[in-house]
Amino acid sequence: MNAVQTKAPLVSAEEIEQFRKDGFLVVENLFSQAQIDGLLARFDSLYAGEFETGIFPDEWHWNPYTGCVEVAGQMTGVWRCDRTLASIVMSETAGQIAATLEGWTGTRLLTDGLWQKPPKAKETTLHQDSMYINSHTPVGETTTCWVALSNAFPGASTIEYVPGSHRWPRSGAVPEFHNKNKSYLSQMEAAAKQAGNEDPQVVQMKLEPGSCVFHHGNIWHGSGKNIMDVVRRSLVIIHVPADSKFQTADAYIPGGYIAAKYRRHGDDTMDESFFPIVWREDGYRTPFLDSYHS
Amino acid sequence: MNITAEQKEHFEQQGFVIINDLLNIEQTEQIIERCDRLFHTQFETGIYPDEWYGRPGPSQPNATRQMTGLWRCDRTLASFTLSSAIAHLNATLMGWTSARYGLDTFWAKPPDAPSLYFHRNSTYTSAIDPAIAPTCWIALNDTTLENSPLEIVPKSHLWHTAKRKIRFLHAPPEDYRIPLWQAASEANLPDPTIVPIELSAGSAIVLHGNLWHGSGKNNSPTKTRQSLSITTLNGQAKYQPPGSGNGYIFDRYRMFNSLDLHESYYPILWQENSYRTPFLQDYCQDALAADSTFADSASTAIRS
Repeated sequence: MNAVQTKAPLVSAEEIEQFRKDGFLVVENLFSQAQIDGLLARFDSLYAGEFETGIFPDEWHWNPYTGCVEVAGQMTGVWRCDRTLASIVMSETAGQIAATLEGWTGTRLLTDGLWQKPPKAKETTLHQDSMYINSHTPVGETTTCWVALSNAFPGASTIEYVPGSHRWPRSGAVPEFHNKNKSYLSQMEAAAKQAGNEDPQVVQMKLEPGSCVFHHGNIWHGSGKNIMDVVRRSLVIIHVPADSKFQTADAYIPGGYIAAKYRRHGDDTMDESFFPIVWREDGYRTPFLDSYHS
Repeated sequence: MNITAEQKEHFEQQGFVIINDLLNIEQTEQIIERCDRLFHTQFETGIYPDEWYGRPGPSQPNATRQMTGLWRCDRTLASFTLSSAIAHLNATLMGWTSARYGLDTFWAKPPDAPSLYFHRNSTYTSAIDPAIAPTCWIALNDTTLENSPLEIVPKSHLWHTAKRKIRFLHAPPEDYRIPLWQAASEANLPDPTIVPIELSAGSAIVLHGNLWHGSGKNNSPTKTRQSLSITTLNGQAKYQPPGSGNGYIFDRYRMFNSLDLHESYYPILWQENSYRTPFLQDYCQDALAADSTFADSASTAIRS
C-alpha cells in the first residue's frame, strides 16, 4: 500500500531554519503514549533476548545475565527482532520530517538503536553519527530521530548537543562509546578547538515520552552520567536519503560498521530488504513494510 | 583433507569425530591475538561482528566471551574461518559436494566463567534448508577437564525430539543440562552419557548439527579456555520459507521475496569442481591452502 501524502507541512519554514542553524530540532509528541507504552512493554524482554521474530539484533551490548549493573545498554538493528518496535521505527511521518529538514526527496531507514541508561550509568562520549555512518553516498548525509521513551531531563543522562557543531569538520571515529578514562567531552572539545571554537556550549534536552529530537549527522552529541534514580530509555531512528547507494569499494568498505555488512560485492545497491524506504515524495514506500509491522 | 571411511562412519554413528593437530601453535596464537583485538573494539576492516557477548567493561569479568561473524571484521581471521580446507572437511563428513560459510565464532571462557546451556546447533541454523550443518570446533589452547571442556552426548544426533526455540545460552540461572534432560526424556533415553572432550591446542572436534553439547563452569583458577568454531552450510542450501525455523543471524541477510543465500553474505568456500566465490580471492588469503603438510600432518584419532 502506498503512503497517503501528508498535505500540510509537518515542520514550518522557521523550524527548518532552526534545524539548519542549530543542527537539531525538537518535535513534541511525534509518537503517542500508547505507541510508547507498547514498546516499553517489550523493552526488558528484548534485552533479555526474547525476540518476537526469532531474529537477533545487529548489536546487543548488555544483557541481564552477564552484564554489570549500572552500565548502559545498547541494541542496534532491533526492527527485525520485534514488530511493535518496527511499527515506530518505520514511521512514515518521521521519515517525511527527516526529508523535509534535510531537503531530501525521500528517506531510507539505515538502522535503529535502543538504549537504556540505568542510575549511575556512565557518560556516553560525545560523537558525530557520521563518524560511523559513512558507507553510503552522499557521504555523511544522515539524520537521527532520538525518541524519548521515558522522561528525559538534565541529570538523568538525557541527550545533549553542541548547537551549531554540525558545521564543524567531521572527525575520526570515537573508539569507545561507553567506558573510558578521558572526559566524555574531551574529543568534542578537541574538535571545537580545531574549528576555532574555544568555548563550546553543551545543551541537555528535556523531553517527555513520545517526543523526539531530529539531529543532523554531523552534530556532536552524547549524554552525561545518570545521577538520578531513574532509568533513561530511548530509541534512535537513523535515516539516509532514499536514493543513497553504497560507496564504491573493492573487497570491503573501510569503517563500514554495520551497514556495510549488507553490501553485495560488485553492487552499490542498498537493498530495500535491509534498508527500506519509509517515505518518498512520490508516495512510494517499500512494499513489505506495511505487512511486516501491521 | 583426507577423511577415511572409518572416520566418516564414526561421525555418522556417533555424531562427532576428533581431528588432532588441525592447526599448529603459531596459528592458534595468531587467532587468539587477532580475536583479542576485536574484543577491544579494534576491527581491522571497521566492520562490526554479527554477535558479541562478554564485551570488556559492560560485562561481568568472568562472563564468557563470544563473537560471531569474525570474517568481516578481520581478514587474518577470515583466512582461517573461510578456508577451503575446513569447509571441505565439514562437507566431506556430511557427504556434500559443496560447502558454504555458515557461522564463525570465537569463544573464551575465563576462570570462573559460568556454564553454557546444552543445545543442538541445528536449532540456530533452522532457518536454512537443509538445517543440519556441521561445526568444526578448534581448541585454541589446551582444553582439560578443569577449564570447561566441551561436553557432548555421543549418538544424540540421532534422537527424534521436538524442534526448539532459540534460548540465550550464557550463564543459565538453572542447571545447564536441563535442556538435555528434557530432550533425552523425549527420546526415551533418560540417562544420557555426557562425555567431556579434552583437546590439545590446535586439535578439533567436528560436531554433527544435531549433536547435543554444552559446557560447565570453568573451574580453573588461572586457565582461560578459548576456541574457534566454524559452521558450514551445504553449498546448495536455501532459506526455508519465511517464518520457518529460528531467524537468529541468518534471517537478517534474507532478501525479500527470495530464498537464495547470496554469496556476498554466505560465500561458497569449497566445491568439488573447485569453484569458490570469486570475491574471496581479493578479500583474504586462505591460511590453510598453501600448507602442503596440512592434510598429511592432520593425524586423526577417533574416540567413542
